[in-house]
Amino acid sequence: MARTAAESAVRTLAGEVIERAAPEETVFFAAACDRFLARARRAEAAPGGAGSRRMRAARGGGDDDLLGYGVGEAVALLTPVVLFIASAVVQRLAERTGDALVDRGSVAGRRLFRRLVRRNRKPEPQTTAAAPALAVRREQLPELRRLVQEAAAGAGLGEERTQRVVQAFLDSVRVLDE
Amino acid sequence: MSEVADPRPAAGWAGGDPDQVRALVLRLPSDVAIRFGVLVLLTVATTADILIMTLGAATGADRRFFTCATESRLFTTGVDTAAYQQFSDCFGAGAARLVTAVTVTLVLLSVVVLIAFLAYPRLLVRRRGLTPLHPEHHPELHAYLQDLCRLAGLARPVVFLIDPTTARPVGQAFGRTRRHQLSLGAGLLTLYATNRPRFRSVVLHELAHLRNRDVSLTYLALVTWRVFVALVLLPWALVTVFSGLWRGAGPDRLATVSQGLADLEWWRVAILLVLVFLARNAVLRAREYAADARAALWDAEAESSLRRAAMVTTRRRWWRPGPVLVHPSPRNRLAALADPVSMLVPSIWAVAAAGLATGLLVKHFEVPFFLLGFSGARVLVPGLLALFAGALGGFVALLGWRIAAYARLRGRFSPRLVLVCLAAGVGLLPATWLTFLYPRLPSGGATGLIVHAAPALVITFAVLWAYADADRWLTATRVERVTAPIVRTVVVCAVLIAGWAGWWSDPTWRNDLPGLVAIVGGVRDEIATLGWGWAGWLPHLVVELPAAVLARDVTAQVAAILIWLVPMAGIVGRSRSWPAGTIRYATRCGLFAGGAVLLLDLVLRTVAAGLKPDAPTALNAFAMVVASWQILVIGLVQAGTAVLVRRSGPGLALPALFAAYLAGLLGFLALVFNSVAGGCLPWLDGCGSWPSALALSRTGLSIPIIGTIMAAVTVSLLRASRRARLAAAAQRPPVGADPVDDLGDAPAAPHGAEARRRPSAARLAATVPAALALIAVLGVGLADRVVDDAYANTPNPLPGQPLSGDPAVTAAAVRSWLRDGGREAVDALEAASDALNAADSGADPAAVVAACRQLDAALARATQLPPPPDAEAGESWAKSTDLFKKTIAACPARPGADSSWQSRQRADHLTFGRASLLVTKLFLTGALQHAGD
Repeated sequence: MARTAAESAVRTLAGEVIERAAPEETVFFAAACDRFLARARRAEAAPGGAGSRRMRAARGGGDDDLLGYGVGEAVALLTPVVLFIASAVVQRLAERTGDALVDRGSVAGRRLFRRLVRRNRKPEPQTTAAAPALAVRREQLPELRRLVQEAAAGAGLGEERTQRVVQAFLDSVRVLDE
Repeated sequence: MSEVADPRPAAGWAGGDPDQVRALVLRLPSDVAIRFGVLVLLTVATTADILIMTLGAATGADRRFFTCATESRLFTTGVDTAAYQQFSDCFGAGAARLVTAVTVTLVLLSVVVLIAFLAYPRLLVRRRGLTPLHPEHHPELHAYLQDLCRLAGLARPVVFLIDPTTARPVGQAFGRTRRHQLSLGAGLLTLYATNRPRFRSVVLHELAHLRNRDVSLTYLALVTWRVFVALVLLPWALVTVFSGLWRGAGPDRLATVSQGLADLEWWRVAILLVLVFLARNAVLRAREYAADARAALWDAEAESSLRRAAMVTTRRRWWRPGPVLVHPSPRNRLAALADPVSMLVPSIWAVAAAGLATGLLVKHFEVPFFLLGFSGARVLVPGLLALFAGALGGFVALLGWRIAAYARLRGRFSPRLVLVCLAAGVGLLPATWLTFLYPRLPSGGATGLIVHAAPALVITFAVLWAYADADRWLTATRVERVTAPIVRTVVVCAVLIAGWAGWWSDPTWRNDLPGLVAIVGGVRDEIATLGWGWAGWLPHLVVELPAAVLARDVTAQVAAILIWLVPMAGIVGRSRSWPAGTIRYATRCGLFAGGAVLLLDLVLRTVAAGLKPDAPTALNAFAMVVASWQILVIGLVQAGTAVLVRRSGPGLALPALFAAYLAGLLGFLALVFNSVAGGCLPWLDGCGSWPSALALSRTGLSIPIIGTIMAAVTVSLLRASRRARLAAAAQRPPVGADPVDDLGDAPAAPHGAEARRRPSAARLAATVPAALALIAVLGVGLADRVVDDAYANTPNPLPGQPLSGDPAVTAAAVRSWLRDGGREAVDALEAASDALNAADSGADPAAVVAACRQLDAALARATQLPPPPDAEAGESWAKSTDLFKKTIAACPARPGADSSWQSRQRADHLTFGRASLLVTKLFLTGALQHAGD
């Protein structure tokens, strides 16, 4: 599927996190990611409240459940949470440091940043190339940890799962030593 | 009643093996079909009701009806052909327009439902972002799912889709027959890695929906509901509210809206709406039990997994009771999994809803069929009869099959099943009060009880008949091949019900009870002159009433023949049902019984010769009483023969029925013989002078005999022609040991004791005469008492007192009321309202003021009178005077002083006031006609 670089960054980061933290969810990750990004695009195009709408986009609809199996409590899925966090991480990094924070190859944050600050301009050309792993400097790892931890706790994950997600995020980014 | 049944293990018929039991249960018609039928009938009936109301008002057909009836003076002087022709000429075009509008709208709605149904899968895929599960991306999962499809035995491949939006461990089967799709929720897909048995059970459950073929029904139900709400209900509500807001002015607007809703009886529409909603939910719930059972049948591990899933505690919401839910409660699912036989017993509410839906369908199509009559098509009674018999016949047949299978699997006939049988008939009755037509039958007192109990009892018997038919098939045939027998039961039940519909003074389209009671009462009075007491009138009641009702129409006679003929014809060709020794024994008993009738009739005639009255005027009554006794003797001998054969051993139920047939046939021949030859005996008076000829003239008495003859001939012919096939069929291995033993003629069969406890088809079929006799005795006795009480308690009715009961008393009071000023008041109101209507139509302000004054004067005179002494006429009289008061209130003080909304309100009140006055006259005329005036 054609996608922007920012979306590719989110997809790559979230996919690596899911593979580490919840491998059983890789079956539907691609479908969930497509839907999340599509709904996020619509949410950001609408004025105001994009964040909460992105979370709703991640959680999904499911309003036609009256014909489903009907028994069973909802499974606490990591994919929506991880997608939400990955999106927030890419966006935050782009906002804070712009191109400097992001690796030359990791154009996702830059393009996302540009897109955020120039929302009314012509949309970026889409690319089908898979984005490489997100790269951050070592001194920025604590900030990344804090960011993921807050988002995961805010999403209602338990202590154990929060730690697992945080570690998966830290393991999924490329650290620049210089 | 709860949908949970007694979770005892099934035993007996299927050997107690739960999987065998599940297989049997799933082969039978499911509860989903019954509930879906209820939903469709309710939706169609409600839609027709709303359409008639809305389109009737939009096309002006309702006002046109009353205007034409008023102008042609229909109903004012009894049956007047000229007036009816004038009314028909006036209203014919409007009727055609209304029927066309209703028909076209119904067709369009059906097309919309079809389009929405076909488009629904694509919409679902797009709305929920479903993506296909590609085998190249997930080869292991795909292979696993294909294995499950093979286990499910699905003929066509299933397209699996990923639903990333659903965190619950659920799937959803959807799509059309040729392209089934199954979405797997994200929550479910995680279970593939973490909890494989649970994943397997849920997928099997969804595949079971496809195998049970309930997916299309379910989505059709859902689409039907949504189209109904969007295109019927909402427009109706909006039109009602906004037309009221537009027509009213200032503070009157809310009152106008309220009045509009009241005129349309919003509460009735609300009840219908709730019923449709509950029926939709009932369809959605019922399918889950069958899917669980199917999944459990395929995989024992899936069963335990389903049980564990159901036992997961879910949050209970007290404000959402069972009927509101779209899924069955976990408790009910567990119960159905533990005891699949319980799924065979439909809930009493579902069965009652089936009766109610049928009644509503018939009532709501009464107006379109009536209007079609103006085009020359005489479809009112045949159309209603076809709707009634078709719908109820289908329900009754399915119900009978399910109950029969339940009783077979349980090994007993639970008393609760009787309540289920009764519920269909009882559910039929409330339809009378949920229509905008006036109930035309007495709703209270003993007469009302009879009128409403009779259909309930007859429908109950219809279910029992279907049960007996199904039980016979389940005993004698392989359960794998039940489709054709079920269709046959549906057809026969429809024919039976169509025939029986003529038996009672039903609350749908006929009201013959008073006439029938009068006839029977007259003959009773004649018999009373003999002075025989109960020995005179009791046989008369038992024999005469069935004869009278059976003689009414051809369908009733056909139904009466089918009662006896169908079981007889159906059992031919089933060698296991007719062992050679058994039929010989039954034939011997039947012949012996025929001889017994011959002798008993001679004894009866001899006794009667000594009691013969001297007065020639009493001879007719005497002949009727003796004929009744003759028929009773034959009936008693038939019953005794059946009991004798049946008690000879297990498995002799059907031979007992055959012996009873023979007894009836020979008994009839004995009557003829005694009339022709026996009457020539020296101690009797002359050849052929005895009243046996009367028996031949009684349709009701001759029909069972004709049926017997036809059954015997059919049996003989088929038996001769299929002898070879029967011999081959006898070698076929039985389905289970029990049914074969039950039909064998060995009294010492190992399962004999159990078979005796089992319900017998013949035992139930043999209740026909007893049921009819009971209805006759109770019904006529009670009705006669009502008439007597009416005469005794109200010898001198006072004008102005609403009366109910005896039509003659009411008619006398109505005559008195008309004589004492009522006629002048009605005529004056009619003339004044006509004048005002003409003035309004002519837009003549001066004439309007004059007509208003004339109406005011007429109303002043009318209000000085007491209300008409008939309950319904009094009610409509009060309504008309009230509406005329409102009309006068909307009159202008001087010519040209009224506003446009005021004139609209005046016109509305005047139209409905004239209509109510017309209805008053209709009731008054009806009250006089009931008494034969």
